[in-house]
Amino acid sequence: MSTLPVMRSLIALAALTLSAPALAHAVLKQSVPANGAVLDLAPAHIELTFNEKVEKLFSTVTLKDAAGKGVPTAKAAVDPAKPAVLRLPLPALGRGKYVAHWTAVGHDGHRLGGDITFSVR
Amino acid sequence: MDSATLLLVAATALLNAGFAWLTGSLLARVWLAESWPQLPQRLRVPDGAAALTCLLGGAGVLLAAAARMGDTGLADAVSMWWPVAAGTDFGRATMLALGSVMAVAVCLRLRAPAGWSAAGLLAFALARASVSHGAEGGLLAPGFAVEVTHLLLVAVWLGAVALAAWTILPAGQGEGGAGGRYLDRLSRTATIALAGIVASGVWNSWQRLGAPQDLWSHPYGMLLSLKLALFTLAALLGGWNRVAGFPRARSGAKDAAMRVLRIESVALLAALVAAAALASQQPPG
Repeated sequence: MSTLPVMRSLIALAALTLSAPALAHAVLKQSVPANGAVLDLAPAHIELTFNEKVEKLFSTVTLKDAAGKGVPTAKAAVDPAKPAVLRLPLPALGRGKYVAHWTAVGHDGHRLGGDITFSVR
Repeated sequence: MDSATLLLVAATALLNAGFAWLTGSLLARVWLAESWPQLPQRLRVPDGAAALTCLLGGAGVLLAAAARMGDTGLADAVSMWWPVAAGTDFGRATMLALGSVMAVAVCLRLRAPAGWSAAGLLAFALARASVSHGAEGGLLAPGFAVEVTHLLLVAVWLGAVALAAWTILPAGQGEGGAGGRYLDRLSRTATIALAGIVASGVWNSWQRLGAPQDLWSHPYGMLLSLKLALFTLAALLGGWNRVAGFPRARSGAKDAAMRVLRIESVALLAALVAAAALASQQPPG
């Protein structure tokens, strides 16, 4: 058996996967409420949408009030139907400023994190 | 660099080095099937060591990934090893890559048709590339195919050079001209691989660097520059061997060529470590 056909097969098989345009690096695309939002009504949940699936085992959101004290919530969960969406159900929030800290692990195993700030008036 | 990242870099390099050796072993078996039929027997121990290296590397990659994903120390990550291996995209891809490379080792041991081993090597590269920076645009994006090609060609180059330096040339004398035959094939194949590595490397750099100055001002770019320098060194050594070392080796004076091949294999191994460090970091672009 000659080598070049083996190498050509490996490279040709790899090249078969060529197509479609590239997207951006894994990032948070959207949050509800939006970062910096001032709301008349307290939100029922925080919903974070990433540009790719995030790992449910390592993706979380925690909430703190203006004094930096943790707000007890249920556990954040990845939407089974939309694995790029991470949602934190909220209890009834009073007036004030809140900071949601999120961490998410993308498909490549990299851990991402950030804060979303919003206020209820 | 924290301990989890250090382990990730070392384990990734081990995994890819074992993969490269098995790639070189397949090439050597194909190239020397007629002129050195006893070669598979001689490769049994080093191939087994390469498979073990892959196993240790893969296990280390998963442990380091568990620590990084959970933002914990390595000791605390032990309990998360299996959940990460079975329950995350990165873990499943790593397990698939490990399974593929173990299947290659078994195929080589049983002297199965070369196509089976080639398919296993391709499966390894596809699995590894699927959780690399190259797959950020999805599995149908050009970046993924470029990454797969890059992984395969680096393995072809390093594997073929390492086999020549550490097994074929030391044992090849008096084996019916097998050493000379291997060097002919190596010379041609490494040239093709180098061209492909340069092309895919330029593509990857263009995709991941924000601007040329990132090459010397951003940590990711500096590591990329180091990897480039190591590949350039290896290419220069390969070039010297092509014009001076191999012709002498064919006429019986193989020591100089063998020494240069050994330095080239170490330079390529160092480039593999730099590549593993690159994979553990976020690119600037």
